[in-house]
Amino acid sequence: MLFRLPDPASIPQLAVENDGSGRRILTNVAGGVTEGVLSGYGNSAYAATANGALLQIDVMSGATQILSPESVQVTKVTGEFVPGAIVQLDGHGLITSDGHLQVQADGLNLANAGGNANSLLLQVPWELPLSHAAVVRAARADSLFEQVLTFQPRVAAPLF
Amino acid sequence: MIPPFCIRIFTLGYQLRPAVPGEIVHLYLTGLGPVDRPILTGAVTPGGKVFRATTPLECRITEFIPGDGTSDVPLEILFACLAPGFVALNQLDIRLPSTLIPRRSVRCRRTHLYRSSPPSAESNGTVILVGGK
Repeated sequence: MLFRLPDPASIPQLAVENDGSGRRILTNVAGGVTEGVLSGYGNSAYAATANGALLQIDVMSGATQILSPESVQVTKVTGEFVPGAIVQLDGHGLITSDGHLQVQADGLNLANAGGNANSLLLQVPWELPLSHAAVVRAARADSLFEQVLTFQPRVAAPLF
Repeated sequence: MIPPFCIRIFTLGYQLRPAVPGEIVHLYLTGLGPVDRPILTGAVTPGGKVFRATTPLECRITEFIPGDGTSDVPLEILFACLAPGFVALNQLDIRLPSTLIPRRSVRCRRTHLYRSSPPSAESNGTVILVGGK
């Protein structure tokens, strides 16, 4: 039987109990596991993490294989998409460890004006077209998944 | 000291003393939109050049008077541009109406920026402390 079990830090991890010998935690994932499923033969478990990674775990050995790394997630946007304006994005993995920005608007690079991987201030490109909704893509190069958001740019939206 | 990147209001002199009626106040904000000369995304606005905001804006100040309701007064915009030395920061210079009634105690006035057409781009408000002369 596969289930989620809070670890000592109250972060939900994937655990298994298959022979009455007690529960065994299979994962040790920062942020925890949101979903899990046992394969048909019961020898592999698959876990989706809160940070968007997909894991395959060998139930017997506990060996973990990353099928897809953590994905970029935008959870909150503060400010309007006005050419040249600052918007604040909150989420996860917004920049890589070497500072590479992983968010684009309409294929244009936003300028990193400060922050970290979980909260960034970005300058909207001056060239952002106003004629159609801007497609904002948040993705890392090695991930199978991306987040796509759309915003209607505005010519001005003052924000004190 | 103005932080290099800040999404909220900070008013020069705000903590030193309240503004007085008729005085020019510098406000800093973002989102005024395109400017009249090119500048690269992410570039620090250079000094010595003026990058004026091209979108027409209007500004008004609402005075909250305990017991008397509110008074809504349009503000004169003297200057709307990119603030030199910063990225994506706008500077807005306004003149407070001299008709604001000087008061011995400091009153809070809430200032809004907006476009008259279309009227959908109204800003959030910021508070300017206005005292007597």
